[in-house]
Amino acid sequence: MRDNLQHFHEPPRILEGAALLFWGGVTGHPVIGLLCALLVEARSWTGLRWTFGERGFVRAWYLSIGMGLVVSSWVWLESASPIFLFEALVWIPVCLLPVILAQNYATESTMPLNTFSVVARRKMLIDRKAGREVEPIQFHIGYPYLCCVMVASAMTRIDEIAFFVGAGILIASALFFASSVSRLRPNRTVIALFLVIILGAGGSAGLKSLWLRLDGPYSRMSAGFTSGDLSQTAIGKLGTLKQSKAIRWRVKEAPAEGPRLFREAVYNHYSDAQWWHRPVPDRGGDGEGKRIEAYGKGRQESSDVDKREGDYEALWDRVSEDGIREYAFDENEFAHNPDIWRKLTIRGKVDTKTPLPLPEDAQRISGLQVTDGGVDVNSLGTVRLENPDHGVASFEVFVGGSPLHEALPDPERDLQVPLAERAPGRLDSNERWVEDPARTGIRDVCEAWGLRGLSASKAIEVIRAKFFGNEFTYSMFLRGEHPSQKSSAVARFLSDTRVGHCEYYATAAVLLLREAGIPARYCVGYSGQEKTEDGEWLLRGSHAHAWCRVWHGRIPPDEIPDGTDLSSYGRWKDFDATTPRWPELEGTGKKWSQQLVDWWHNIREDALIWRTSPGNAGKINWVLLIAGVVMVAYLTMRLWTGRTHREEYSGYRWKGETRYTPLHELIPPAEKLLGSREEGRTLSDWILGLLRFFPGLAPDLHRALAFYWKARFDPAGLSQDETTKFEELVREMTSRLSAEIHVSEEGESAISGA
Amino acid sequence: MGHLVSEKRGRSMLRRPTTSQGGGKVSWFYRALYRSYSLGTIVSLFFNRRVTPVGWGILSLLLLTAILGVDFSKSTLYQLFALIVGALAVSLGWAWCRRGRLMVERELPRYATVGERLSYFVTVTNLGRYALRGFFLDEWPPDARPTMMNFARIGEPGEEQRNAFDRVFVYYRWRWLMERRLLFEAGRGGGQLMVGSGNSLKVRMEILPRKRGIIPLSDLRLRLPDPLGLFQRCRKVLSGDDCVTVFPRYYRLAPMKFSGQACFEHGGDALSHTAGQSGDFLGLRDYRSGDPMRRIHWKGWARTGRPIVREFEDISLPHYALILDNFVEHGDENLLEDSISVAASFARAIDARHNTVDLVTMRDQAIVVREGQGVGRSENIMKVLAEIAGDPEERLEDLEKVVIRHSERLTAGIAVFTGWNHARADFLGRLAMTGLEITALILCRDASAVRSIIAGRPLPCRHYLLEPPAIEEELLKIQI
Repeated sequence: MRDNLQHFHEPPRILEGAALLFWGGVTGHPVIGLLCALLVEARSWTGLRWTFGERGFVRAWYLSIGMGLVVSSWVWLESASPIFLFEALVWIPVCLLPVILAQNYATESTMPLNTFSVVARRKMLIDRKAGREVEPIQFHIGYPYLCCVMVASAMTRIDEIAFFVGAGILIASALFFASSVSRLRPNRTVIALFLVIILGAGGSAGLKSLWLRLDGPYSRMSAGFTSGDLSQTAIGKLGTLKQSKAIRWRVKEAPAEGPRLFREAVYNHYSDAQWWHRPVPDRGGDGEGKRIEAYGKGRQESSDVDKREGDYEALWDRVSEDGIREYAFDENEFAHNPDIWRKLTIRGKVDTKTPLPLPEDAQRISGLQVTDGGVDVNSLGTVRLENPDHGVASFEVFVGGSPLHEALPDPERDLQVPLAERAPGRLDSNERWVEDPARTGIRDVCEAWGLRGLSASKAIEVIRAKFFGNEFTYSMFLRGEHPSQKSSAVARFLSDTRVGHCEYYATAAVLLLREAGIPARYCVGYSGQEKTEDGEWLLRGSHAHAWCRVWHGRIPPDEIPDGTDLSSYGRWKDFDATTPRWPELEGTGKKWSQQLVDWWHNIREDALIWRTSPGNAGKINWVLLIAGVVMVAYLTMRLWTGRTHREEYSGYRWKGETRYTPLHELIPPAEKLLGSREEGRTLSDWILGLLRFFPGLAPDLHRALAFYWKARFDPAGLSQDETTKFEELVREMTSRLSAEIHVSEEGESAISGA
Repeated sequence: MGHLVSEKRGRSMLRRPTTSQGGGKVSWFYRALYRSYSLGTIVSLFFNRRVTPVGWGILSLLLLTAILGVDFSKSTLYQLFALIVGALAVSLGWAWCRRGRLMVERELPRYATVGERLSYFVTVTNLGRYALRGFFLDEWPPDARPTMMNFARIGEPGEEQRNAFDRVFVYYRWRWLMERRLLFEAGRGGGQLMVGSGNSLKVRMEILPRKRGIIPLSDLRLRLPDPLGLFQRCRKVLSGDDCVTVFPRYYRLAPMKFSGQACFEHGGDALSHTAGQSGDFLGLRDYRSGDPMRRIHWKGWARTGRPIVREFEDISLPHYALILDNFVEHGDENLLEDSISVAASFARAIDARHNTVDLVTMRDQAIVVREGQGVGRSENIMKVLAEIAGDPEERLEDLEKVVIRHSERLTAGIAVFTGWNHARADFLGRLAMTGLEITALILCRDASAVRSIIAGRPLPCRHYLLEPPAIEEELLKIQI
């Protein structure tokens, strides 16, 4: 292996620079990519070199590690994303810059492999101290660095075809130049690279389609996924539902205590243990309904996802006198004095399209840092943040008055009950639904409980009495559920098992109310269960909760006349169908380490908010800039004092005092056949090897050699006439040789052996 | 004159001893370690012969992209993964399909030296039906794995200073034994574009000998890489069993002026075929520096009051003895190698055309190998030094007898000792008593300890302590 590794050679010019430019382009840091590329490639334009030695390479590596730690810390502090590793890996090319620069500007052609391992290096030093001979494996970091740049480039989501083209060109170039035989067999190498590109393209497309196909079922396996448009419930899953004790949000409320439910998202369509948001068409007047209609007309063929995206509309916004950006559901809200409302301060990790946990009567939001984004709301009242500037958001919410705007009931969507839950059965061969008389569905339960014809408040009372009574048991542990009956899991819960958690209760309540003709929706969010001494709600993962929004109206929704003030016919209200004892039934025990985790979490979030607040960000950037400049200046000074210059390559090519003759023009085509001339072998001996391939060249080659010897070693040199003949002779042989090589590459049989 | 080792015998010395040699039992733990390391070495060798460094790099990248790129929604690593899988598939398939049948004839020099690159040419003949393009030739050394008994019994020098983990699992011992048994570093010939069917080609090869002795060259491999250079087909090539005698490593020495040199120059009898004290008495003359003690004419000195020596008709060529102590205890094998190298350095430094050199050392019995004008081939001593092994039994008396037997004709002597003890001090004392001018070179691991021994019992001649690894530096300081 050692022998093998010693043949790791360096990439050609431009390749590293091109890869860095590609990285800069795809990751959105073109200037940094350009700077890195210039630094890496400048080795070819300058003779400055340094003798780093083992110690110098280790220092460069330590500097890279230091930069890596700084970048990781920065990204970790900056990002709320659980995949911060990916964001940190993007910066690998910059972090490894000291190592590749040390390699490129070193007088040594390779560096010891144990540079990158403290243990291996320590072993080597111990061995040397003990008098043992140690020869560390030497290698060139060029191609490994290129691999790192490619991996870092792939850590982004850009146009996939553009990325494939760029990555394909770079990988093909790297493979060509790294191959030990590509120059001996160029045509075959090109064919092989072409096959690689074809296979790579096919493989990429295949993998992508496979992933898309598996994504649905694979995603369904995990419970608890929530976005503004989809909530994958744990309904139908067996075992214990585990929830994180980590703090998701902190809500500071002063002075009065308001509602304890913080709603993140609302859904109106249930199917196969998933709740979806479906746009609600307008039923008259202005508002989001128009938006949907216009959108629907324009893009009838668009997918459900596109339709859902079209259901979002930006909140009204303005920048206040003190420079703070404010958002409101109603433009007139800005005319009010915010002091009339209760104020909540909410802090938590955010990502793009993060639903915000808000009380139902939120009126105004201020303090969010979203330079390139905003705050959207959909027709169901889900409010989400678009493209926040930082990974942690801190904002104020002013609450009070009427609940925020939600679309009024839609007879089709807000009364939807899946057939498999309403009347469990199966599809026959004609794709017709055949009920199973042995199984009880939502319809039967609704009948049995006498919900039909009741008002919303009466129906809620009946359901609450049933659910809070002894018939139903709250539990996070479920068993005995057959996977094939997952589509009717709620019906089984109501009629058979009667054991479940909040998602069961909320879903069952929504479906029962809908079956009874009362519009209802499904909500997810947090239930305030833990308050600190400072009056701050700590919303943990274990406080995530599901409940219902129920329409309390005087007449059925389909009887509400169009074009009237619909809100006068009723309003949406929260209904929590889960027993109030659910937190204690789940168990509130916390690990001893939880306090430490909470403390660290809060410190980290508060530090980020402090650092990114408008007053502090500039100062911190200046401090970092000055520190960086000082460090670069120190390194530059140290390097400048230890600089040396590159030694000119003294290989077989004639330079300096060696006299150039026309025969040297024959070297490039001859190398294609004979390979490089070995050190110590004379040109005459080497070039006569051509006769093995082209015996017919013998007379001309011998004449040329005679001229060559005379030109080099006869003090009289060649006459003008002889020089002309020599040049013509070599030119003729060169053209013959090139033609023969071309022919022989097309058909191997063209070359006859000597 | 000592007998020379035949090549056949030399090769038999290189044959791996069986596990039954040495007797004794090896614990199950060491047996398990031995088997696992041995298997690991074979597997590693198998893959390293078939996967190129670029191939290992690409495989590592494949692993990295597979781990990081599982979630397609977070990165485009799956595209890199697909490209890498494509490259590996193309490369593997292409390499698998490559065929080549070659016959090779080596043009080897007779001798080489440890640590100095040995270049030679091989004539490659393509026996296949098609032209062979883009191939490499590698000369692989014989299997360097130690025997189980050696692995269990021979400890790495300084092993006791290693940490507990290393001492338990002794992987470093395995590596050290492998290094120690490695005869030469694999040689590689340059990449060749083509050799047509039935045609021949001359390829330059190069190996780096690591051990002295007769090294066999019998494992020439043909590597046929795929165009991307990730994998390669590895085939054994038809070649004869050749061997090269590798001389010990040489150290650089300071310019030497041995006693007796002036006498020889004065005589000018460089072409004489006789050596030693012979011929008729010519007369008396004044003593000159370098004249042997035994030629002093004591009566003349007594009469005249100044030293007078007898002069003979034939002047002997200076005749030096190089006494090599090859008695080593277990664990001092490296010290013996250094001693042999020191002896070889002096043997090479003494011009055998104008001097005669006797190597006196111990093999099965004490032997004398002579080299000089008309008395032996110039490589005799080197060949013996190339093949000599350590003798665990300290038989200094035998060595002494041989030296004393030849002392009559000797001008001066250089004794190279492998270690130091009282027995060696006695031996050196007895040699000095013969009147022979001796210079002692003592190789030792701990020079200060030897100095304290010598301080308690001073040596009767010039002596120098040589402590590895600074042997060459010390030798350059020595003025003989």
